[in-house]
Amino acid sequence: MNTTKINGVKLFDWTDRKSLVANSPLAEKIYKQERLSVCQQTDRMFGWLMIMQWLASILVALVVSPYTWAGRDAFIHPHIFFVTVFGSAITAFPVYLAFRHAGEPVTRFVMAVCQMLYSGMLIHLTGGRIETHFHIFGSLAFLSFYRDWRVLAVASLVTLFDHALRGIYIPESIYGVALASPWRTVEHVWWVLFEDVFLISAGYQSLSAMMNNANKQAELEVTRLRVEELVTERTGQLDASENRYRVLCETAPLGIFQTTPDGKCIYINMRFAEIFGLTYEEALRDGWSHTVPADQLDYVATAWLDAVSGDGNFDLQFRINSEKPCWVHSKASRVVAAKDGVETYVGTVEDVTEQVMAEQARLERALVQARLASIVESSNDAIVGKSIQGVISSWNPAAERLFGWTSAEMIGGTISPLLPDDKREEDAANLSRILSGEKVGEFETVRLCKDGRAIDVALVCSLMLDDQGQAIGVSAIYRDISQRKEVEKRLSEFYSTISHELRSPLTSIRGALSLIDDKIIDMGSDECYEMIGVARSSSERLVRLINDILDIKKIEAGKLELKLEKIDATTLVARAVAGMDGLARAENIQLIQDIAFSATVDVDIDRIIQVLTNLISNAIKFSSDGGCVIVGLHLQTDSDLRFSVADHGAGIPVHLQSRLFQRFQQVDSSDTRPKEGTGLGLALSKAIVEEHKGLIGVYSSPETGSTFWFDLPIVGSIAKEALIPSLGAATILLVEDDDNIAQFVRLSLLKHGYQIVRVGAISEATAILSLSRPGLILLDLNLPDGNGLDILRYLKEEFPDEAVPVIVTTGVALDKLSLAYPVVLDCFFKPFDMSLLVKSVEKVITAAPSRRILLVEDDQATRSVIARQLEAIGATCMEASNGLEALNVVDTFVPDLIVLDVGLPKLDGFEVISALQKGPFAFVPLLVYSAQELTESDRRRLSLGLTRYLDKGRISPKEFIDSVQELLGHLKVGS
Amino acid sequence: MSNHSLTKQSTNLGHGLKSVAIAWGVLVLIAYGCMVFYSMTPAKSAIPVGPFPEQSALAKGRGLTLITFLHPRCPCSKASVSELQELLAQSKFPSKLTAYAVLSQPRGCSSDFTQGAILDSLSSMKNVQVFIDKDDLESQRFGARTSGQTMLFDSQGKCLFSGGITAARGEVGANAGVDALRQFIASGQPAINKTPVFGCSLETTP
Repeated sequence: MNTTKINGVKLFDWTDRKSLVANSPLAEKIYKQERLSVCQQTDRMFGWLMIMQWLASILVALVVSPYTWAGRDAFIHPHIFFVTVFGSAITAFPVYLAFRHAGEPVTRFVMAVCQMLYSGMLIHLTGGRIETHFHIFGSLAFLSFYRDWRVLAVASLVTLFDHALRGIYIPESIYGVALASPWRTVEHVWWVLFEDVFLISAGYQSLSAMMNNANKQAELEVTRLRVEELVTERTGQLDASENRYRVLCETAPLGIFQTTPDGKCIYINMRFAEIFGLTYEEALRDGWSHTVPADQLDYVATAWLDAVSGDGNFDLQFRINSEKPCWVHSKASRVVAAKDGVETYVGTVEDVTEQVMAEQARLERALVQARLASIVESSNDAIVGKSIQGVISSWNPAAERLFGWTSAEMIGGTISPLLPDDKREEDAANLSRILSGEKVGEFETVRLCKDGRAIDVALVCSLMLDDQGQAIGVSAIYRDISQRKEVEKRLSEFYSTISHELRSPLTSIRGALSLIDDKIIDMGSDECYEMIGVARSSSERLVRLINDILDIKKIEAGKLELKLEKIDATTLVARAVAGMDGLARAENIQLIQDIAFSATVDVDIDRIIQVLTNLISNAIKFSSDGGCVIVGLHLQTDSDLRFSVADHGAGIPVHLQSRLFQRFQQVDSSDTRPKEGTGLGLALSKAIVEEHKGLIGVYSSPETGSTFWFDLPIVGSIAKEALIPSLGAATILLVEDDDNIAQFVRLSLLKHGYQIVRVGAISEATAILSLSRPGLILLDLNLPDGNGLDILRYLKEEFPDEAVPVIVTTGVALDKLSLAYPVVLDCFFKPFDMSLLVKSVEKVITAAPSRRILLVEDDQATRSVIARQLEAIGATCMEASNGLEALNVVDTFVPDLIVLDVGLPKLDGFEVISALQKGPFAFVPLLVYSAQELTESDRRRLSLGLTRYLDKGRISPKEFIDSVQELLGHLKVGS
Repeated sequence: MSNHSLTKQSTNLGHGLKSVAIAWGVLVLIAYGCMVFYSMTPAKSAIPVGPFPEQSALAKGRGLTLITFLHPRCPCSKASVSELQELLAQSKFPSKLTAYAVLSQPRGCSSDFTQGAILDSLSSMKNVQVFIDKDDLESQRFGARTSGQTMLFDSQGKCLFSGGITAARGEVGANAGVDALRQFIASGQPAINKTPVFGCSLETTP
C-alpha cells in the first residue's frame, strides 16, 4: 500500500484502490453491511446527540436567559422559544431520520448540516467565543464516524458558508468582532479542511480495514459455509452410517451388547433381550446375569473377570435359565474410547442351543456307538459281521484271538477259511434260514483256526437290519466252548474215574465181606482177618474219596471253613511225615525231613497236614522204588515260610504243569495209569493253601524230579539275625540260582548226611559268610547278581587267613580259577555227574559226625529211655538231671541239640534257657520235651535256635525221634 | 475514497421525505435567521437628555463620568457588565473616570429585586460605583430605556457617548461601543457617540 505523508504523518495513498476492493461479492456484501451498520450506529448516536443538544440548549436557556425584562415585568425570553420551538423543529427531523432511516445517506447528510448549524448557533450565542468554535472540530470528528467523506464535505461546506456569510455580515456573531478580515474565514475554513484531511484519511483507513475484515470474513464465511457443507455432508454420512449400523444391530440375528467393565448394559439390541428371555427394559435395567443358573454363575463370572483383568477378550459358552434348555455363546472385546479413555466391552451373544443339543445328541450317539463298539471290541466272544453276500465287514479282537486271523486278513473276504469241510453245508443252511427271517438259536459247531486247529464254538447268528428295517447283513457271535468241552470231557472222565474209584473199593468191600458171609473163608482165620483188612482199607479209601468230593463241593460253594490255630511249622511237617511213614515204608521210599527254618504259622492244622499228606502221597506215588521224598521247610521271604515236597520221579512235562492244580487233573488219567487218584488232591491243596493266604506251585524237570511247594505267612516277625543262617564246619554252602539244580544237589548231599545251606545270589552268600564260614562252598559262577568269583574275592579280601574250600560248578569253562582263589579244589562243568561231585565233597568234609545231644531230664527212667532212643539213632547223649548240671555240661562244648524238660530242680528249664540264650548257644536247636502245658509266653521264653515243643503225654516215641532227627539233620537257626 | 454504491442506498427515501428535508432546511434557516435577527436587533436607545442632569443623585465626576444603566436581571446585560469590566480594566486613567453602574429597581420592587449575578459582578468591580436606581429615577433622568445603556460625560457634563457596549445581545467581544469609549477615555477624541443597545427594557410596561 502506497502511503502519503503529511507533516510526517503517514496517510493512505489515495491512488491505491486495492484496499477497498472486495475479493468477492460476499466480501463486498459484508463490507456494505458493515458500513451500513456503522452509519446506522452513527445515525443513532447523532440522533441521541441531537436530543441531548436540544435538551441542553433548553437547559442552558432556562439557566442563562429564562426571562427577558421590561422594568419589573418579566417575559419568557425569546431564547426559550427559539430552543424549544425552533430547536425541536430543527432537531425533530434529524432525530426522526436517525431512528427511522438510520443508515440512509440523507440521514447523515442532514445530520451533518444540522450539527454544523448547531455549531454555528452556539458560536453565535456565545458571540464567537473561540471555545465554541471547538464544537465544529468535535462535530467533524463525530461526523467522521460515518467514514463518508461526503458527510465531512457537506459539514465543511456548511461551516464555510456560515463563517463566510456571518463573517461578512455579522462578524460579531461568528468572530465576536465588529469587523473581521475575510482571511479569518479562510483561516477558520483552513483548520476545518485540515481536520477533514485527517478525518477522511482515518476514515479511509477504517474503511480499508473494514474491507480487509470483510474480505477475511467473507473468506471465513466461505470457509464456514464449506465447513458447514462438509459437516452437513459428514453428518449426513454419519447419520446414514449410524442408521445403517442401527438397522444392522436391530436386525442382526445375534444379540449385540455394550457393557461397562462391571457388566452393566449400556446398549443392547432386541435380539439380545430375546435370547435371554427378557424385555428390552428389563435387560437394560437389570442386566442378564440373573439369567445364569447358580451352577454356572461362578464359571461365567470368573471368565468375565479374567477377561476384564486380562487381555479384554471374553469368549464363553454357557447355559442360561429359560423355559427350555438354552445355551448361549458370548464374545466380547474391550473398547477404549479415544476421547476420554472410558473402557467398555462390546460383544455378541448367539443362541447356540441347537448346536449344543445337536452336539450333545451327537456325543450321545457317539458314546452309544462307542459303547457298542467297545462291547464288540472288548467282548470275549468273537463277533463277525457279514454282508448279505457273506463278505466279512467286521472282525473284532476276540475273533482274532479265537481264530488267529487278523481283521485285515478277514475283512473283505468270506468265512470260508473257518469252515471245516463237513460244516459248509450246515453254515449255508443256517445262513439261508437267517436271511429268510427265521430265528436261529445258539448251536454248537466246529471252526478252524488259522493254525489249523479245530475248536468247538457256540454260534449265534442274527440278521442285521438298518433304520428302515431292511436286512443289511448277518452278525455271527462265536463263543469258544473248548474249555467247556474239555471240562465236560474231564467231568465225564471224572465221573468215569469216580465211578471206577467208587466201584473199586466197593467191589473189594463187597467181595471181601461176601467171602466171609458166604463162609468161603472161615471166620477168625487169617484169611478172614485179611479180608476184613481189605474191606477196612477199601472203606477208608472210599471215605477219603467221598471226603475229597465233599471238599470239592465246599470249595465250589465257597464254604471251606478253616479252624485256625498257631502251630510250629516243624510240627506240621513232622505229623505229616509220620502219617505217611507207613505208605513210604510200604513203597520202599525214604522220607527225609529238610528243616532249614521253622516258624509259627496260623493254620487249620488238619487242612495243612492234608495238603502235606497229599503232596507226600503224590511224591511217593511217583517215586521209583528205593527213592526218597524230601519234605522241606525253608524261609522263603522274611514273612513267608515255604513247605516243599520233592521227589526224584519222572518229572512233569511243562505243558502239564499249569493244569496240575485244576480239578480233575491227573498227569495221566488214562486207564493204564500206574497210580490211583481222583485228580482232586492238588485242586484241594491249592484251595486250602489259598484260603490260608498262601501260594502253591511246582517246579519240575525230567532230570531232577518234581518239587511241590506252598508258602504260608509267618506269624510274628523274624529276628533279622535269624534270617542269616549260621554255618558250621560240617555245613556246605550251596550257591546256586537254578532251583532244579540246587534241589538236585541238595537232595543228593542230604542223602549223604550233609548239612546244606542254599542261597541263590552273591549278596545272600556274602551276608552269610560275613557271620560264619562253612566247611565247603559249592559255587556256581553264573549268578543273577554277578560272577561267583566275586564271592571268592570277598573271601580272599575279608578272610585272608581262612581258607574255605570251594568246589565250582559252572557251565562256562574257566582256566584260572585256581589263580582267583587258591582253595578252589575242583571244578564241575554242567551237566555234571552227581556221584563225582559227592566224592569230591567227601574229600573235603566228611559226613556229619555223631551228633552230641544234651539231655536235661530230672526223671531218671525217662532220661534213660530217651538216652537209649537217642543213641539208637547214632547220637551221643550228654545227660543232666537238673538245670545247674546242664549249664555245667555245656561249659565244655556246644551241643548239636538240647532236649530239655521244663520242670527241673535247682534251675528250671526257663532259667537254663535264659542262661543259654547268650553266647554260642543262641542258635543251638532245642527240643522242649515236657508234660507241662506251655503258653505262648512260655514258648517265647523257651527258645534258642530252631525250637520244637513236644508234649510228653501225647507224642509217641517215634514222633519224638523224628523231631530229634529233624533238628539234628539241618541248619539250626533261632525262631 | 470510493463510494461505489453508497449513493445507491438512498433509494428508500421518497419524494415526500425529500420535501420534508427541504422544508426542514428552510425552517432551519428561518429559525437561524430569526435567532440571528433577534440577537442582532438592538433595543430602544436612550432618549437624548443633553448634559448631565443636575438633579441626578449621581455625582458628576471631575473628569469623565461613565454611567451604565443595567437591569439587574437582564441576561444579555451580563455581557455588558463583562465589557464594562474589561473597559475599566484596560483604562489607564481610573482617576479620570468615574464609573457608575446604575442598577434599576423598578417601582414596586424591593431591594431584593436587584440581587443577582449582575449586582455581584458589579460589586466585585473596584472602580465602579453601584447605584441602586430605586423607582428608576436616574434611568428616567438620563433617559436610559434599555439595560446596557452606557453614557459618557465629560467634566462639564456633556454627553460624549450614549449607546450599548455589546455587539449583540449577550455577546461579549469587540464592539463599537467599547471601542468608542476607550478611545474617548484615552484620547478624548470621539469616534462614534452612539451605538445600538442590546438588552432588556428598563421601563415597566404600562
